[in-house]
Order: sequence, then C-alpha cells, then structure tokens
Amino acid sequence: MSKKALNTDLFREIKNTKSRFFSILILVVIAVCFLFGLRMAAPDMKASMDAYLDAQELMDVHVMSTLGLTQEDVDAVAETEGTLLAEGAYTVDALATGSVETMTVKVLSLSENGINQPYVTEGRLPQAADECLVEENVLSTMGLEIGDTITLDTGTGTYEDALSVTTFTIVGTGTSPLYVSMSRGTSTLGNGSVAAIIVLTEDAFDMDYFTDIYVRTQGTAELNTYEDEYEALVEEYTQRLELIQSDREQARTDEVKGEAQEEIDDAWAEYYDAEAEAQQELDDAAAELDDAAQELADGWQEYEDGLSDLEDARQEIADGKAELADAYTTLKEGEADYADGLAEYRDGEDAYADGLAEYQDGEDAYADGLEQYETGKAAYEESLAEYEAGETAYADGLAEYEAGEAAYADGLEQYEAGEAAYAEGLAQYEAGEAAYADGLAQYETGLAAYEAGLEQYQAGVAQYEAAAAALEQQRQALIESGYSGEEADALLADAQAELESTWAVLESTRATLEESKATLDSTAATLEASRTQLDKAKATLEASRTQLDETKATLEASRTQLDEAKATLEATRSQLDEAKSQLDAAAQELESSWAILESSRAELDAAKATLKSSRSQLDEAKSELADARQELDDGWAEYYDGLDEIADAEQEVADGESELADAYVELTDGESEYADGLQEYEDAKTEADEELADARQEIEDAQAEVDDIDAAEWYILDRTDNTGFASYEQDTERMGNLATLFPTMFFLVAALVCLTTMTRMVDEQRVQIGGLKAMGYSNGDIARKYVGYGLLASLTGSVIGLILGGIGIPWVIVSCWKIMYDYPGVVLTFSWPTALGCTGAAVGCCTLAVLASALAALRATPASLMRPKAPQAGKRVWLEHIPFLWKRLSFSYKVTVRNLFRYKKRLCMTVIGIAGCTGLIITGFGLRDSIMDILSLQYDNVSPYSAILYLGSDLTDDEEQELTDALAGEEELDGYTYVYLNTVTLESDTYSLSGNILAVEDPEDLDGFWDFHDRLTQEPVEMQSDGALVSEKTATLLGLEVGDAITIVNGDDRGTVTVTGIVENYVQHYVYLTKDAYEAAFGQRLEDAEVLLTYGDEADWEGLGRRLLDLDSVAGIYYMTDARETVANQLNGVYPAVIIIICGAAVLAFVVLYNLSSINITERQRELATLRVLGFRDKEMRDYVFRENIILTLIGIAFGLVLGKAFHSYLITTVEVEMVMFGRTAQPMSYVLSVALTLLFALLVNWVAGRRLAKIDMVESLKTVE
Amino acid sequence: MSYIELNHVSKRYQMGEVEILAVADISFTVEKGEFVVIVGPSGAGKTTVLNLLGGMDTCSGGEIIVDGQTVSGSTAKQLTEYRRHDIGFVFQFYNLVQNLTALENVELAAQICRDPLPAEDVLRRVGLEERMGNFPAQLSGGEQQRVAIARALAKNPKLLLCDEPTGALDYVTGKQILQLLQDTCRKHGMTVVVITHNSALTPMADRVIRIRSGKVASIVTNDHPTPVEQIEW
Repeated sequence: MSKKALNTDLFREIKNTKSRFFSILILVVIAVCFLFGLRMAAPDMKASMDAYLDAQELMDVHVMSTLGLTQEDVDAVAETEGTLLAEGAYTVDALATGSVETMTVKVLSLSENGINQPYVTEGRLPQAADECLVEENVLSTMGLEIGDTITLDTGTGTYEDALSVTTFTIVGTGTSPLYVSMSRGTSTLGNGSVAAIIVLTEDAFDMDYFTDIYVRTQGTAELNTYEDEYEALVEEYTQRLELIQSDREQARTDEVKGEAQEEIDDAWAEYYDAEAEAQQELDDAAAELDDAAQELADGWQEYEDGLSDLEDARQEIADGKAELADAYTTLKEGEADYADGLAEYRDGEDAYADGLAEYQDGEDAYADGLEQYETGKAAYEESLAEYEAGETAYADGLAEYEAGEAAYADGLEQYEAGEAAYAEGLAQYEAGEAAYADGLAQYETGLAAYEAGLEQYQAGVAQYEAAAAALEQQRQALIESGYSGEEADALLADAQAELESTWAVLESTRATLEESKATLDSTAATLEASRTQLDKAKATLEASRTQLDETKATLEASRTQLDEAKATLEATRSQLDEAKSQLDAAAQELESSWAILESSRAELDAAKATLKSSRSQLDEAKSELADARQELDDGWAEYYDGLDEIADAEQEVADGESELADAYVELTDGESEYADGLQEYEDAKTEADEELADARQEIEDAQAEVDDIDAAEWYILDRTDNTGFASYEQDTERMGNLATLFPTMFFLVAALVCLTTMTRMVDEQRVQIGGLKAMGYSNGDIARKYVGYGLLASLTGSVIGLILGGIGIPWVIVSCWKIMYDYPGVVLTFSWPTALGCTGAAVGCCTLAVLASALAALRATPASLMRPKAPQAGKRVWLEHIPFLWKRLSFSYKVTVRNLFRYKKRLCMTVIGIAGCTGLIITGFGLRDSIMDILSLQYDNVSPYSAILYLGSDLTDDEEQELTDALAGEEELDGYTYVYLNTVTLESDTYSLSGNILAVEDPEDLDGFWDFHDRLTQEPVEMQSDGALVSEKTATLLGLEVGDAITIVNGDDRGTVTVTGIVENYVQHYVYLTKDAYEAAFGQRLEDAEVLLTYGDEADWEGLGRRLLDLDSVAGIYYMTDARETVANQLNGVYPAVIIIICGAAVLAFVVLYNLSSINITERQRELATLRVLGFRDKEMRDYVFRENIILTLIGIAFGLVLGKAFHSYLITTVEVEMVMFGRTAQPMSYVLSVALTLLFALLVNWVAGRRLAKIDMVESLKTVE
Repeated sequence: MSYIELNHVSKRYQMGEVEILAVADISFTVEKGEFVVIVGPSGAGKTTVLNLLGGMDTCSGGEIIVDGQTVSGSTAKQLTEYRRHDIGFVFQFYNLVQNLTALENVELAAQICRDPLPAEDVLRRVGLEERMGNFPAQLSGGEQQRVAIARALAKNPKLLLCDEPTGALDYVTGKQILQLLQDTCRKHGMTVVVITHNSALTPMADRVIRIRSGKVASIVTNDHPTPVEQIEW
C-alpha cells in the first residue's frame, strides 16, 4: 500500500521547517565529524607510520649480542623458519666534526638488501666507502651543504678502529626508520646525547664482528605493525629464534674465549723463553764479577809491599838531613864571628872619617863666624848715627805744638765772652715783645668797649626819634580831633619834656664816646713805635749770632790741627826709644861672639892630632879579616854538596809514593766498579724477577679474564623495543584518549539538542497526529513520518560528518605529529566499525528520540490529540516564598524568574549545553595555555640560565685555569657556575625512564641558574646533602614520594638515593643532588663537566660562544634559546588539535544556543503574539524573552567554568608527552576569553532570534489554540 | 466628527499568486461611549476590520481615524504605540499569560501604558477580588475572560475591542461577560466594539454594523438597546 501522501507530507515538512532540519543536520555533522575524526586520528597516525616503516623495510626483529655477532650467527638466523631476510649490520657511536661544530652521532651501516632503508629527503644514498648520508639537522647545525665533507671520530673506546675511513663526503640527507622520534639514544662520547644519525656503506666499517642482526620476517609486511596480529606473528618468530639462541651464544662464547686462550698460551711460551734468556745473562755476569774480585786482592798485596820499602828510604834521608843540619850550624857561627870583625873594622873606619869631617867643618865654621862679627860691627855704627838725628827732629816738633796750644786758648776765651753778650741782648728783646703784646690787648679791649657804647648810643637815638615821631603823631591826632596846635602841644608837654631829657642824656653819652675814641687812637700810635724798636733789636741780635757761629767753627778747626800734631809727636818718641834699646843689644852681642871664636880655634888643633893615630890602627885590622874570609868559603862548599845528595834521595821516595797512590786509586776504583757491577747484577736480577712476575701476573690475569668472559648473551628485540616506535605508539594512544572523552562530550551535547528539537516537533504536530489517527492511519505509518524526518537529518549529517571528519581532522593531526616524528606521508584510513558506530550513535539518538515522542503521542486517543494540549499550568516558584527577595524584583524579573522555573527542561538543556560549550572552549584555550606556558615557566622561572658549556674530558690544570680566567674576564656574562650534568636512566620499583642528573658542589651554586620550589605553594625546596630532589613529572611517573628511593643509572654505575623533595619542572626529567650525596650513593666523586652561563638579552652571545669555543677546554656550547625553540616546535604539534577543539566548541556553542532560543520562541509564539497585541514594543519583547536566555547563559557559563577547569585538568594529563609536563592551570585570560566567546555567541543568537521575534504575526493570538 | 471613523477602508492580502480582497470598502462611524456590535458571518471580513481597527494590521486603502488621530498609514512603531495606549483587546481565547496570576496578568498590561488604572480596582470591578492570586489554569473560562477584560480595562483605553468574547464560553457565562462589557460601557463611558458572528447580540448594542463579503451591509442605530439579561440565543 502506497502512502504517497504521507511521504509528500514528510518532504513538505522538511521544506517548511528548513531551519530546524538543517540545525539538526549541522549538529549531527559536527558531532559525527569530531567523534569520527578524532577517533580516526590515532588509527591514521598508526597507518601513516606503518606505511612509512613498510616502505623503508624496517626490521621486524633486531638481534644484538654482548660479544658481537658473526656471519655464522647471521646464517643461523637466516635459516630459522619464518625469516624473510637476515642481515648483519654495524652501529657505532662517533663524534662528527664539520667545519667547527661537533656533534655526537650514531653511525649506521647501509643495508645492501634494503633493510632499514633510510628515507632520503635530498640527494642520494652513499655508494662509496667515503660517502655518507646525514640527517638534515647535521647540515643546519654545522652549516654544511650536500657535497661538503665531515669527519668522524669514534673515540678511544669500544669502537676505536671501527671505521676504515674517517672523512666522508655528504651525498644526501634523510632519516632512518630505526629512529622515528626526536630521541637518538645516548652515547659515551661527547655530551652523552646523540644528536643525529649518519649512514655509511658497509665498506666504511672495519670490524671483526657485526653489532646487530636485522631480520625481516615472512608475512609481517602485509600487517599493520601496531596491530595484535603483527605482534603475535613476531612473537612466534622470536620464540623460534630463541631456540637457536643458546647454541649461537655458546658458539660465540667459545670462539671469543678460544681466541683469547690461544693468545694466552702464546704469551706463556714467550714468557718462558724470556725467563731462560734472563737467567743465562745473569749467570755470565756473576762469573765476570768473581774474576774481578781475585784481581783486586792481588793488587792490594803488591801495594802493601811498596809501602814498607818506602818507609826504609825515608829513615835514611832523615839521618843525612840531621848531619847536614849540624854542619850548617857550625858554618853559621863562623860566619857570624867574621861578620862581627868586619863590622868592628868598618865602624872604626867610619869613626875616623867622621872625625876628619868634623874637624874640617869646625875649621869652616870658625872662618864664617869671624866674617859675621866684622859685618855686625859696621852695621851697629851706622844705626847709632841715624838715631841721634831723629832725636833732634823730635825736639823741634814739640816746641811748635806748644805755641799752637796757647793761641787756641786765647781764641776760646774771646768766643765765650761774645756768647754771653748775645744772651743778654736776647733777654731784653723778649721782655719788649711781651710788653708790646700787653699793650695791644689793652687797646683792643678799649676798642670793643667803645664800639659797644656807640651802638647803645645809636639805639638811643633811634628810640628817641621814634618817640619824637610818635609825639608828633599824637599831636597831629589831637589837632585833627579839634584841638588847636597849641592845645595839643600843651597836652603833650610832659611827653615833650621827657623827650628832650632823653636827648640830653644821649648828647652826654656821645661826648664820652668821643673822648675814649681819642685815647684809643694815641694808644695805637705808641704801640706802633714800640713795634719798630723791637724789630730793629731783633735784626741786631741775628747779626751777632752769625758772627759767633763763625768764630766757633774756626776754633774747632784749630783744635783738630793741634790734636793731630800731638799724636805725631808721641809716635816719633816711641820710635826713637825703640831704636835706642836695639842699638844697646847689638853692642853686647858683638862682644860675646868674639869670645866664642877664640875658644873654637883651640879645640880644632887638638882634634887634628887624634885623627892621625886612629889611621894606623885601622890598616892593621883590615889584613886580619881577609884571612878569616877564606876559611869560611871552604866550609860552605862542603855543606852544599851534602844538601844535593839528600834532595836526590827525597825525589826517589816521592816518586815511589805517587806510584803507590796511583795504585791505591786504581784499586779503589776497581773495588767500587766491582761493587757497581754487583749492584747492577742484583738490580738486573730483581728487575728480571719482577718483570717476569708481572708478565706472569698479566698472563694469569688475562687467563682469569678469559675464564671470566661472560657467555655471549643475545638480545632479541622487536619493534616495540625501539624507542621512537614505542613512544609513537604511546602518542597515538594519547591521541586516542583525547579522542574518547572530548568528542563524546561534544556528541552528548549535540544529541541532547537534537532530542529536544525533535520532541518539540512531535508536540507541535499533535493535532495533525490526531487527525491522521482519526483518519485511520496506523501508528506505525504516522510514526514513520517523524522517524523519517529524524533519520533523514541524522543520516545525511552523519555522512557529511564522516567525510569531513574522516579526512580533515586526521590529516591535520597526523601532519602535526610529523613535526615530532620522522615519517613522510599521511595515510588516511577508513574504519567501517568506527564509522558505523558514529553514524549509529547519531542516527540512533535522533531517531529514537523522535520515535519515543511520537509513540508517546500516539498512545493517546485521537480525540485528546485533537484537543489542544493543556498549556502548562503556571505555578508559584519557591523564590516567591522568600518575600524579602521576591518583593525586590521588578515585575519583569518576576515574570522571568517564573518562566525560568516553568520550563525546567529547557532550563536544564540550556544550562548543560552552554556549560558544555564553555567548558570545551576553556579546555581548548587551557590546553594552549598549558602547552605554551611551560616555555616561560621552564626557561624563565625554573631554569633561567642562558647556555650550557660542555667541557672536554681530562682537562689539565692549565686548561682549567685558562677557562676560569676566560669566564671571570668575560664581560658579556652575568654569571656562571660549574656543574655536572649528564643523561641517565632513572628507575623506581615500577617504572624507568631516561632523564638527567644535575650535581653541584654546593646547592647555593645554582642560585640564579636553577630554582627549586614546589609548584603549588611556590615554597622553595632545599637541596639536602643526603638525598636528591626530583622533578615533579618524574616523581609522578616513577610513583615516588618524599622519602622513597630512586635508582640512578649513570653509564655503568648504579646508585640509589633518597628523594628529599619534589620540585617544579616542565621539560625533561631531572634528579638534582649534591656531589656529596652522589658520592655517598655511588662511592665516587663527580668532576665538573659543564658550566651553566647566564647573560642578558642584549648580550653578544654569538661572540661569547665563539670566544669560549676557542678555548681548548671547551667541547661545546648549547644555547637555551635553541632548547626553547626545539621544545616549542615539539609542542606546536598539539597546537592545531587545540585550534580544532576551540573551533568545534565555538560552532557547537552557537548551534546549541540558536536551537534552544529558537525552540523557546516557537513554544511561546502565542504568548508573544498576545504581548505584541497588548502593545509591547520590540525592545520590550526582546527583553521579555532574552532576559531568560541571558540568565540561562550566565548560569551555564558558571557551570561551564567549573566543568572547563575539571575537564582541562583531566585532559592535560592524558595528552601530555612523557618528556614534558604541561602546565596544570589555564590562564585567567583563557577563562575570560571563553566566557566572552560564549556571551558573544549568546548575543549573536539573540540578535538573530530577535529578528524572528519581530516577525511574529499578531494574528496568531487570535487563532484557536492548537 | 465622530469618535471613530472608517472611510472606504480596504485590505488586500497577497497569497502567492492569488490576491485576496478581505475588505473591499468599509465606512462607518462610532461615537464615544457607544456599545457597537460588528456582526457578520465567517469570512465576511469582520476580523480584518478588527485587525485594522486594533492597529494589528495596516489597511491597503481608505483611512481610519480614532479620536482625531489617523491610524491608517502609521508605521509599525506608531501602531505599537497606538495599541499600547489606545486599545484594549479582549480575545476569544482570553490569551492570558499562563505563568502569571490574574493580578499579574493585569499588571502586565498596566505597566506599559501611560495612565493605568490600579490593577486590584479593575479586578474588583470585574468581580474577581477573591481570585487575584490565582493562575489562569486555576480559573474557569468566564473568570479567565474577566481577567482578560480587566487586563484590557486597566490600560484605560479609548476603545475596547472584543473578538468573539463569548465564543469559548457557555451561555450563562457568556451572558455574564456581555453584561460586564455593557456595564463597562454604560457606567464608565467606555467605547466598546464587539465583533461576533452571533446576531442575537445585536439588540444590546447602540449601533449594529453588519458586514458581508468585505462590505458594510447595514448600519443600524438602536436608540433603546435591550439589556443583556433579556437577550436570548
């Protein structure tokens, strides 16, 4: 039965309710898109990686051995069932050096069979032994290009001579499928962290054994490497491989041990030869030594004999010497006697000569004395005559002087008389002068008195005249007043009389005045005369004065002349007296010299006689002396002959002595030579013994070592043991986690809105349903329309969502992960189960919701359906029972509040929807914050140092000093500190991971370089000397708490320390401890191997780096800006996922709000139309409706904030990568932004809905209730 | 000049390609304080007239003047103000806001106009002093219509427009409502226009306007209106 009308109704319904249909469609699209897209992200990531690994033919099984692997091992593996291909390969560590920079690299051999084929991004694979393929970062780090060369140094360890070539030409860049992640493993070379891979041909290696066997197994290439089937197949294969493992291990052990044993046996043979040879040599030496000893003894005997002969000769010489000595004494005495005689004779001769000389001298002296006496006598007589002339001249002078003296006395007397006369005249003059002065004074007084009188008189005349005038006036007045002249005169007679008397007085006064005037004039004349006299007397006095003064001068001059003459006279007197006394003395002398002359004449005559007798005595003595001389000369000749004899004998003895001494030296030398020889012999013997013993020990040690050689142990690894492979799998799972919670949440919100919308639709069509039922349509037919509507919307939406989500989202996400992992392409897969699941969920939600509402409606009778559904009754809300609050609300708010509570379902829906959207947006932003924050938190707060300086190993003191000086003198540096920093493995009971160890001498060294604090409280955490601090994520992963033990594996050493604190850290895992703590745990002390540097942002870090790298002690430098960039790049991988989430959440928010707002308006259309009829303005209408929306939005946002925080906290831990701890909190700005975004959507939706509101037809209000 | 004047008012609706002439040419006047009944069969255009008169729709031709104010040609905004201040509506189905009590429903209208009457007074006037706090769902149809009338009166309008006020009510209640409307007109001088298809109501009106097929068929002035209680239908 065709129900065409119903189908038509369905399509027309869709056409009429386009916006509803599409809103459902879009919701379904979004929900399915996200659910399917995020779900497919992980499988697509796996598929992309699988495709890459298959293309590069990554090994399925990887065999390594502690003793290396041989071709036999490879053959044995190849023969194992299920092997597709087995191949030996080499992996060695090396330091690669380009122009300047050095990097630690893993050097891989290139398979000839294509196993683990590198993925070439540029250039080609190496073909010759001196060609290599490098990772791109090698070129960028070293600044090289393809065609440049690179040098590899395999160090001094295990791989010392592993390479036959050391300089390689770079022919291409690429990556190895063995290393898909950023991690390249660790090495004992360089800074311990491998930075890149280098691929060489097998020819470049020169090793006795393979380091690896790579195996491709049969049937695995077709499988997805992340699937269980693959793992099962590989597991099965490895089990088969384990069957041959022990045989191969044994064979290899035997081989290695056999080779070693052979070497040791050779060593023993060599040892025994050497021992025999040494013994022979020693014996020969001993015989030689004995011969020497005998020779020495003979020599000594001879020497003793010589000595006694010498002694005899010496005695003889001594006797001869004594005899000679006696003879010598006798001769000496004779000689002395002769000498005495000769001396006596000579004395006599001398005395005679002296006497003769004395006599002749006396003769000469006498002649001289006589001559002198004659001369003296003549001089005396001359002087006497001179003296007498002087005496006469003196007497004349004296007489002259006395006459002058008398003349002077007269002059003086005259002068004194003149002086007295002058004094008298002067006295007279002065008295006259005084008398004149008195007269003048008297005169002047008189003149003054006169003038005063004259004045008085004149005043009296004036008075009088005034009185006369007054009288006349009076008289005149009287006449005028009628009196006649006469009468007037009469009346004035008294006055006239008085006037006249006055006049008389005046007259007498005038006479007196004239008199005194005359007197005064005469006095004046007298005074003038006396003046003239006085002046004359004065002139006279002055003239006599002048005369007196002249006289005085003349007197004084003559006095002086007199005095001079007196002095001359006295001098002459004394000269004369002196000459007199001299003359007297000379006369006396002359007399005495004459007497002496007489006596000396007599003496001279006596001496002449004595001289004659002594001459004869002397001649006699002279002949006696000549005889004695002859006798003595004979004695001396005899004596000298004896002396010569003795000297000869002594020479003989001396020769003998020196001969003996030589012999003695020779003997002693021989003795010491012998002793040396003996010592040498002993030493050689000891040395030989020692050397032999050492050699024996060495051989025995080697033997022990060989005996100890651990049996070879195979490690059979598969892909899951490959770090990159495994971490990629973890990351895909993390993506999977993100894909579960997030889209589910999304889906639930969308489904909720769909459900509401569809339910509403059924409710709206009650009447129509009733009509259809009444017409006799079956329930199923009627339900079909609504189910069809829902089905059509959800199915179409699902298909669109599957297409969009299945392609777009995985493509973006897989591309992002490509940043962190090396795989070239994106492979998109389609999972039917997931697709069907998503579609089923979407379609199910919609359709079932519709079906449920439809069936609920259909259960009612047609009649009740046709009746309008009783409007939901209004009722009081609980808020009204709080009058305090209720009364304060304005009327419109009361309405709003009541409406809110009336439509509880809508309230819940809206709140949940908006809360979900806000939460999702917050989560999106929060993820971004958490990821981006850690850069600043890590590199600005936790470890703010600027660079790490890697030091070379085994520095000399000079190099250390040079480094210290360089660092101290470096102006660009703000600070530096020595540390030990190394890559280690950290283990606990439950987990192990790769981390870093940071050891310092003193925790304070790290101030300003590394800040230890708790993340939540920001309280500082102190580093203890008996334990270690552990970074937070590390502690979480290892399940550690304070007080637990953590095991550190540093190279070959293991140590366990107690965790004393857990500190904030974001990038990588760290254990921080003091060197003391390390020593306590490991039993050895660490040397500083790194220096942390800080410098400002402005610093010239490139120049700084160059200067430091020039130092011999510096092996490398690592800038934290690079680290920051690297981490930022890695983190960016998650960023697009965040953008997707934010966008999705935003779209969802908009759709949800729009739907709910739309439902709100539709449901209340009649009420709103009525309000319009009542005259509500547009704004009032909007307020009436949207006040509710806004309140609901705000409530939803409040819940959303809480939800978002929780959601973010949960999600952040699931998406975190192992190496990094993301920030745990979202920034306040993110919350603000999320709220603002939600509000923006709400307002946008309200604006759109407002336009609908304005279009509500008022006629609706007139319609019958449906 | 009359209180209300309609001069050659016409209204066309464009329904797709078909043009419907709902009101062709209607002219009548109403005096202030009159009780007017507009009567006509279904589809005659009386609801259109009500819509036009009530400012819910604009006319296609002619003019409408209410109390000297030309309503026709007004903008939507002006019409809103017109409804808000000058018109009181009474609907067939009361159209009360379910979520508000009787008093609040009255207040809802009163709060938006210029010179409202106290809500309680008006409710008392319509005899609902006991039911003020009740929600519409708790009131009978008659009581709800009383609330609706009170709501219209509270606005103190120039004109009370009633669209089939008794249409949803039983006979007795209907009569009570009509009585209330007549009393409102007589005692308070309110101009009341009742639109109905029920010709039996015509005797109670001062003026009866009959409309048929969009045109005024007749206008009868009734000098002695019959009291409501004497009317039977």
